[in-house]
Amino acid sequence: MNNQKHSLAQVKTSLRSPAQVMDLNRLGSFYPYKLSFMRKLMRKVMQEQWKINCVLFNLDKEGYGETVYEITTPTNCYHFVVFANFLDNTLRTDRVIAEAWDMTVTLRHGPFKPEELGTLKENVPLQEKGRMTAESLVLSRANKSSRNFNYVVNQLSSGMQPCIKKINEVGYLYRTTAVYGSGKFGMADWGKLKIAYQDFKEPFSAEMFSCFMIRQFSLDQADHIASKRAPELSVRLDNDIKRYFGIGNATGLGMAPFLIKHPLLINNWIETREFALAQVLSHTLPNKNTLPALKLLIQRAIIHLNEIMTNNESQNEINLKASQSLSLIIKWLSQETPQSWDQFIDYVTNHYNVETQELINTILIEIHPEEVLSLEENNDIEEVYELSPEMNLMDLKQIIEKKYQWALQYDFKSKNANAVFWYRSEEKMEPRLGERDVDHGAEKEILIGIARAVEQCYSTLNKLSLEMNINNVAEFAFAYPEHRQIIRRIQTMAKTKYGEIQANLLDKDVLPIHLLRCKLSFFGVGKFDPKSRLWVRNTMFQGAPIASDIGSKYKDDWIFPIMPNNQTSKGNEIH
Amino acid sequence: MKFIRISINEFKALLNRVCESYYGHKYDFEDSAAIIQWLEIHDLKGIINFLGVTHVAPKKIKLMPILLERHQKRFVFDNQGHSLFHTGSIITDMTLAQCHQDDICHSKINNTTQPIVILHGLIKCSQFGYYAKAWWLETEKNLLHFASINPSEMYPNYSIIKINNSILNYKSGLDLICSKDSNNSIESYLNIQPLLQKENVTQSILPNEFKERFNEKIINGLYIEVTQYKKLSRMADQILVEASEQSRLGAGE
Repeated sequence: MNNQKHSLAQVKTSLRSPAQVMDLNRLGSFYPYKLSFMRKLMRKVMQEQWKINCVLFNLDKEGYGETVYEITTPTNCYHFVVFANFLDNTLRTDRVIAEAWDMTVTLRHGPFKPEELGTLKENVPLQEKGRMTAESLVLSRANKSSRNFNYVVNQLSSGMQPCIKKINEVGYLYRTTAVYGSGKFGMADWGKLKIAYQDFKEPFSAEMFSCFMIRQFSLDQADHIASKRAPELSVRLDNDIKRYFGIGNATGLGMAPFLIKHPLLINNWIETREFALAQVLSHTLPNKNTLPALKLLIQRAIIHLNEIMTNNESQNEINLKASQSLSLIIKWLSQETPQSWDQFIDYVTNHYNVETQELINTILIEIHPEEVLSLEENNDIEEVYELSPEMNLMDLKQIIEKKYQWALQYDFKSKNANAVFWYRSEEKMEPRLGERDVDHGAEKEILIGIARAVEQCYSTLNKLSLEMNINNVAEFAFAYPEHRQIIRRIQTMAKTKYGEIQANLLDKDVLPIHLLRCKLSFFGVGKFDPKSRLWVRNTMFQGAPIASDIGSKYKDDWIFPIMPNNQTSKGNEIH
Repeated sequence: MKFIRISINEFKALLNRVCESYYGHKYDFEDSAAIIQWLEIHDLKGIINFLGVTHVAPKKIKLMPILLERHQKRFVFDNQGHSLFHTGSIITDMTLAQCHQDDICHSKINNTTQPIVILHGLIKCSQFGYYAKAWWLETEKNLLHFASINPSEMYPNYSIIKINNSILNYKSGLDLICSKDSNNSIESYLNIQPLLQKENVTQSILPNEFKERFNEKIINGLYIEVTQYKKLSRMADQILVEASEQSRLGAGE
C-alpha cells in the first residue's frame, strides 16, 4: 500500500477544487468524520484516561438539585456543575430566547470548591443574564426530551430496560439549546484556553466535552430517579443502551453568521478534511483489508440511515436515496474490484448524488486511520484580515476574477438575488432572516452577503478612470472606504484554498440549513432532523463511550451508530 | 466607581457592534473596533478616547482626511479636526503603500485629535517588515510623545518626553515615518532626535510591558467602568431589530 506514497506536494495537487467543495449543496451533505471534534475529543479522553468522578450528587427523588463532577486529566483538573430544576412543560422550548430550562451547567477550571456553589447557583441558571468568572470555560443548558425521559424512567423503575426502537425515535434524554464558550458572559477567553487549559486547546473541544457531560448526567439522573421511585424493583440502565443514548441538540441560524465571519477557521477545517481524503486517495489502494472494511462500513451506514427517524419529508428522501445508493454500491463492489480508490470514486461520482459521494468519502477516510490521524492536530488560526495596501488594482481585480468568479455570477439588480437580509433581533441578539421590502430591519442588516460586497467592490474598480489617478489598494480605500473591509477579506482569503462558501446568502431560495449541517458535521453531529430551512435538531455522541468506559480498550468506531442488539431489551418485540 | 469584568472576546464582540452602529457600513467598522480594543487592552484608554469623539456623526459627515500635499516619499494630510480613530488606518495604509514603492515615506497629519491611535498603525508597519516611528506634541503640557518599532515586532517602544518649550514650532500635528532602513535623514525627525535622551523621558512603555498587559487581560479579562460599559451597550443595541411575531418566523419558529 505504501509503495504508492506520493510527496506532500503531490497530495496537495490532488485536492479537490474549491468550486466543487465549497458549493453550498455539497457542504450541506457533509457527514461527521474521523477528525470531527467529538471524535478527536473522545480519542483524547480515552487515550489519556481522564478521570470523571461525581463529587456531589445532591438530587431529590424527582432528580432536581445539584450535581458536580470532577474531571482529572494528566495535566489539569476541572469540575462540571449541573443544576437540575423543575420546568413546566409549557416553558420548554428549543428556542434560544427561552428563559428557563430543565438543566443548566458550567464547566470550570480547578477542583470543586463547595463555597462557590452559592454564587454559581445564582448565575448559571440565569444563562445569558448571569455573569461567569474567568475560570469558567463553558456555560450551557438542556431540556428533557419529553418523549423519552419519562418513558425510560418508567421502564427502569418497573425493572425493565427501555425498548431500543422506542429510544431510536429520539436518541437522547436531553437536548441542548445553546452551548457558550470563548469568553461569553465573562468566561475564559479562547486565548486563555490555548495557554492555560491545553486539554481544550482544540476549537470547540470544551464545548463538546460539556455536551458529553450533559449526556452523562442525563443517564445518571434517569438511573437515580428510577432507583428512588422503586428502590427494590428498579434496574440501572444497561451500558449498551447508555452508549446508544446521545445528547440532542437544536441548532438555529446563529451558526450561519459564524461560518461567514470565520473563513480562515473554516478553511482550516475543510482543508484538513480534503487533505485527509486526498492523502487516502494518493497513498492507498484497495486491498484485502480495506475492501472488506469498506463494505462493512457501507453496510453499517445503510442500517444507520434506515434507522434515522425524522418527520421531515425531504430529509427522509435524502436518507432513503443515500441508503439505496449505498446498497447499489455494495452490489457493484461484489461484482467489481476497483484497482484504485480514484477508480472507485469516479464510479461513485458518475452514478450517485452529492450526498452519497460525501458518504463514501467519509467512509474512505474512516477506514484509513493511519493516513489521517496525523492530521489530527489543528493549526492555531487567528482570524485576522490584513489589508495589503501596496497591491496594485490590476492585481486586486485579477484576484477577484480568479478567486471570486462565483460571486460575480449573481445579478444583484435582480430582486431574487437580493431578496433576503440577515439581522440580529433584540431578543438575545438572535440572528434572523428577513424578506427585503417586506420585513422590518433591512437598514440594520448583518454584512453576510460576501458575494454582493465583492461584486460591489469589483464594480467600483471597473468604474475608475485614469484621471482619478488611483493605482493601489491604499488609494482606492482612501477614496472608497466602504470597500476596505471586503478588500481585507479578499486579499487574505486569496492566500487560502477553501474558506469562502460559494453561495449567495441573500438569495430568495437560500438554504441556511446547509450551513448548519456543514458546521455540525465538523463538530461530529449526526442524525440531522431539519425542522425548517432555518433550524435543525440533531444528535451528538450517539454510540460514543460513557464515563465508565474510560480505562477500557477503545475502538474508536462509533461512526454511523446503530441500534444495539441488546439481549436485555425486550423492546424489539413490544413496538 | 463600579466595574464590570468582561473577557477580551466579549469586548471585541461588543466593540464590533458599537462600531457597526456608530460608523455604519460606509467605513471599515471592524478595523476601528480593533483599534479601540487594542488601546483599552493595553491600558491606553481606548474606551474613554472613543466615547469622547462619538458626538461626531459619521453617517452624516465625511470623516476622511484631505490629502493636502503629495510628493515622492511624503504626504501631508489634513484630518479636519477629526479623531485619528476614524482615519488612522487609512493614513497608515497610504504611508505603507508609498514606503513599499520608495523604501521610505513620511506622512504629516495636521489638525488631528487622539494621535495615540497611531501606535496601532506602527504595529502594522512592523508586520510589513518596516521600521516605523511616530511622534506628536502635547503642547499645553510641553510633552513630546514618541513611539518606534522595528520590523516584525509585536509592540512599539513608547515614551513621553518632557521638553522645555515649543522649540519645534509644532501645531497639533502627528508625524509618521515608515522606512525600510533603520536610519533615515528626514529633517523633522533629525530635529527631535536630540530630545529623545533617556534623562528626558518621564514615562515609557516597553514592548515587554505591552505584552504583559495583554497577557494579564487574556488570563483575567478587562475591568470596565460600568457607566462606560452601559454607554457602549446602548450604542451597540442600536443595531438590533425590534422583535415581533413576524420576526420570530425569521428564526424558524
